[in-house]
Amino acid sequence: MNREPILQVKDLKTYFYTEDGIVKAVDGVSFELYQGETLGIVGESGSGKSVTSLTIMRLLDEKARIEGGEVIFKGKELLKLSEEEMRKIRGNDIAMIFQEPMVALNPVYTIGDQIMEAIILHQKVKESEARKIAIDLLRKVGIPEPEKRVDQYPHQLSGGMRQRAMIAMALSCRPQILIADEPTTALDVTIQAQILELMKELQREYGMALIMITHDMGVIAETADRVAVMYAGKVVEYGTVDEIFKKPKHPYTYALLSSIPRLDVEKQELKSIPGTVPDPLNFPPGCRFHPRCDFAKEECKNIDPELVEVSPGHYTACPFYKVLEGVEVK
Amino acid sequence: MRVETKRTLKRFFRNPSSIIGLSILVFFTLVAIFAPYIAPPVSPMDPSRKIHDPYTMPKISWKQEPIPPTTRKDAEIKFIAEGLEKYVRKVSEEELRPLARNIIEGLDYESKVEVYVKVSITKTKIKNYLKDHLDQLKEAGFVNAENLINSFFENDLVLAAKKSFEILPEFSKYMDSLETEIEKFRKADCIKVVKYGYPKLEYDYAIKVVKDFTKVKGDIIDWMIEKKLITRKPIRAVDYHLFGMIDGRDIFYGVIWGTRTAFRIGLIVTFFSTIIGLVIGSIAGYYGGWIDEVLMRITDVFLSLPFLVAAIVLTTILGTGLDKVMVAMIIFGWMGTARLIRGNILQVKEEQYILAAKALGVKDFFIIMRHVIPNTIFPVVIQASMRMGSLVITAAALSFLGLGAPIGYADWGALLNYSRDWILGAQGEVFKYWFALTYPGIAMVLFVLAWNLLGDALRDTFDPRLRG
Amino acid sequence: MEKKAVIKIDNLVKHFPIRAGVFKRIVGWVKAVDGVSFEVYEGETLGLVGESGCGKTTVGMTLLRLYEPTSGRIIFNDEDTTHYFMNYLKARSYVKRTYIDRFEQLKIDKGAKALDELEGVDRKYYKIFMENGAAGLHKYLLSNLEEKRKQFRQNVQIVFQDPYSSLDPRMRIKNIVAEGVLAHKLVEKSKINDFVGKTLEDVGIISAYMFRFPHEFSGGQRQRIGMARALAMQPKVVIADEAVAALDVSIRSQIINLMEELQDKHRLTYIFISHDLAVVKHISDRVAVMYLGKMVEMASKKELFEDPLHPYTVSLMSAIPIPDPAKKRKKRIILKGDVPSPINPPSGCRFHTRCPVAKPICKEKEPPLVEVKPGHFVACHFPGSLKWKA
Repeated sequence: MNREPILQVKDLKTYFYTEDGIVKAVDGVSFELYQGETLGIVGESGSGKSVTSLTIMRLLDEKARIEGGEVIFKGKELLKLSEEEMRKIRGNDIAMIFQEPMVALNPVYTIGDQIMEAIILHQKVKESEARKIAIDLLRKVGIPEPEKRVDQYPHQLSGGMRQRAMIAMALSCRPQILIADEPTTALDVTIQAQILELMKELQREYGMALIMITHDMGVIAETADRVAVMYAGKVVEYGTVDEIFKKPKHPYTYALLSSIPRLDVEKQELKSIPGTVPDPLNFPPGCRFHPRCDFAKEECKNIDPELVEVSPGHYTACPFYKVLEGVEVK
Repeated sequence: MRVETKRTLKRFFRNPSSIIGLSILVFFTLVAIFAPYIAPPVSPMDPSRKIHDPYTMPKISWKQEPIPPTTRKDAEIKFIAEGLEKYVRKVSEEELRPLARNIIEGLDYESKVEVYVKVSITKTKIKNYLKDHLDQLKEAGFVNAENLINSFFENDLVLAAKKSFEILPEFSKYMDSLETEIEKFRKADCIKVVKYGYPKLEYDYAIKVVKDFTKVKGDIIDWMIEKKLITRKPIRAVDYHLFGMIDGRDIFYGVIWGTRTAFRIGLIVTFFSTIIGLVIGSIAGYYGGWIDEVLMRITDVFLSLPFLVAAIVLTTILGTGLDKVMVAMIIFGWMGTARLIRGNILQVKEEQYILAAKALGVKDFFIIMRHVIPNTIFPVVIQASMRMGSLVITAAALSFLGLGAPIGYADWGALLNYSRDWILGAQGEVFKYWFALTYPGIAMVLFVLAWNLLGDALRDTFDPRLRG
Repeated sequence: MEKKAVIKIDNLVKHFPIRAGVFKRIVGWVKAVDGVSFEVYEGETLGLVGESGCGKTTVGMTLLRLYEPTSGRIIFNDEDTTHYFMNYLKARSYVKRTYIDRFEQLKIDKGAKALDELEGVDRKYYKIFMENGAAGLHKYLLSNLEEKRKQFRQNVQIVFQDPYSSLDPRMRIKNIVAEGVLAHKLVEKSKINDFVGKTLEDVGIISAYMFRFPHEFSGGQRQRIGMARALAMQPKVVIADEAVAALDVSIRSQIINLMEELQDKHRLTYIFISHDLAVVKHISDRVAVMYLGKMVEMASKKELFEDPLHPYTVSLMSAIPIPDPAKKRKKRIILKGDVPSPINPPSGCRFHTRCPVAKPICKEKEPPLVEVKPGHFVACHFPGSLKWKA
């Protein structure tokens, strides 16, 4: 792929300075996002996947500090922009949707007001015009009777409808990148299927790039073109979705895939990853996965593995990835 | 120590408001503990104590309406020089009683009154006597008796008396009887005759009140600010009255001992009202349904009564006094806690560990005690510490209205009450009596502030909603 | 093999009142569970699946008697336990309503012959009724309620979804695990430490950790402690209410494996409530699918996943994203709209508003749950009309 990436994240580091110590939530994350593709970021709680997205949007609270790295959006270094310039980018060029739409929507304004606010802010149109656009958007995201819904408050909508409204809001300025942070986790599976379908459709229509952040391997397989697997603040594996799912080159990815119960395959026993997700206050030294790794060697305690390219576009942060050669994902 | 505890303590002591609040409170606690050393209550019986006050023996006007004797206290000061009432302008019972009563009631503890009497046999008395015996004088050939009597004023008293002695042998007898009656005064239990025969046209006497330590039990006497002066006027700081005086009482003494009162009111009222609130709130919250409905409606009824009015009515029924005020404040002060704990319990009730305990078959009482209360108590503790301060203000307000502490009791509110009439100062001198208001006022403000700061700090530290 | 039903639920109904206004008048009912029947056999795992609001959690809670059922019977170990947690008067009237009145009529109509028609507890109680009369049955059912309640509590336990909310943050692990055991005096106080230690080791927690507080443990460990709390009671049945839903993927498989291991070791019966069909498929022996307070399909796992007959089951399966990018091109069945409100459920078949194959009759007539194949129950007018295969 020699296309120019629309978004480039290089060695991003975001630390939280808490009373108990420094939480290295994101510790050297790099990836690229290309026009029109979907990048899936998958990881467990505390892996830093959400913080990565918040760092790109620069929506972190005062406890967090961006310690290093670059976020380049169409040649612009986002981390160096002023707050004013960043505000223009947010919503206009990069939009974001969250896991719990009820939190992200203001309960005292109608859905219409909130969508219109974004439209008027970024597009400089009249209010009546904005209202029309808002209704069109609501129709587009599949909300029935948008003329009526536009004047309703968030609490009057169901969870799925709220998420649709959130998407409408995010799309109101035709962003080039949409970051979806666990957009379907709070929803039922049948509603999740609706929302994922909708997002795919809209992505095609708008030609935007999508960053899909989730812990659900199923959702990733379903939506993503390329995947970054995160563990303990680092990207451990990075590649196309087919490569990652068929030929995982990192023990963590492999273990993760083997440990999920599947509807389509009968498994006698689930593989389980021993131990617990590491405490972000004290990550283990060396490779952060080594205490839970089936293939761990003595060296793993000391080396901080770098991402290496194992095949074109497929990177892994395990120097001993060859042990996985020929191992089937169960 | 547990990590969590350590972290909590760290967070608590890093908070400036907790440090300020705590240090003020520590200061107040020390003051309260060492009150007997800072402002020692002095026994008036103490012979070593000398009264330097120029104000101790003021002139008193005692022209007041006679009040019939009703209490034992009146009887105690009963002293009549029998047979003299007609001639001697004596300290009559009727005249003295209201005066003494005022004094005694003002002190609000059992006391003995010592009356110092300066009796003067004056021209008027003799004149009156002679006027009564005018006929006798005339019969004796003292034709110009009227002139003679009148001349008492213009001429020599002694001469006139001498003449009268000659004419009236009873006159000397009268003078003797006067002497004996004054002796009676002298012997009377409560009256000390200082001088008599002092040639003056007015009667002088002073009344000194002596605390009767035999009749007052316990420490209550220490809480009383001694009434040293009869006057109500604020008096600037003199000698050892560091903060000046108000209502004849030492402000310094009142402020120091008032600290104890403040702690007492705050702790007792907070403790009991919190307990009541906890019980009612947790029963309502945990059981819900109609029990909740009934208890919460009762709470609403209590909340709908204006606190001050309710407290006034209640103290009217119970009688005034600090304990009664505390009872009133407890009765009308538990609703906030009840509502708070109920709300918290409604939240905690949904927690799965409560359901788990129920599923284990644990009895309701133990669920409340082991799970519900420990998980809901913190906001209540925080609220209680916030309330501590405001309670002292309320008690002061009641004292200010004359419902709270008895007169003379060391209480900041009572001190403010005394200075009520002097807030505006004197004519042309607005700040003349500043000290009467300022010292107890500062004490109160600091006390309330300290508790509020502490409550704030506790909330910042423990309220999980604020935890990062 | 003769399977013994440990729990039998008979037409369970749970309606929650909606109250409004000053006098808290009841203005409506949330029909959370509306006539659900099933049996759970000894040693098996029954998976209860459905979306949020389908009433699966309410079934669990009502079974545990954390909610009182509106109507229906809950039979545990061949005894009716429905009245255990009622007050005496209510329990009395329940017994009269459910058994005495009916049996009196039966006695007049058929006498002893009626015994052949009855089964399960009805048969057992009718026998007692015939032998000892109404008073005898009364005594049998209503005496010793306190003791029976205790036994029920001990035998049926629950593991909750949220590992953070389900452990009291102010209690040490030891006390959390020991609480129920001590309340029922199952273990002497002096031996409690050993007992708790053993139970903790059972679920994979080092026994030395028993003096720690819940916040010192991770989500997965807490869920283990939750298991230990339930296991300490030595129950027969454990209801797992979304027990793995809140856990991280890598931890989830640990807990699933642990649950399976414990089932073998302690001969436990599980009722596994979950919204995740994949997890249910892995762990269950039989699966029941619920929709809006009704059971729509119930079958053995193999049967259900190979031949789902209810359109809802089919669309649920198709909606689940499969972690295999090769299969993503496959068109799924996307259901229209949202789950309707359980306050005013649709008439007829409750699924008809979203069903891709609904016909006019679905709107009018409610389909009963019928056994279409041995052990395969489905409540649909047109079973098997919607097909989809992963």
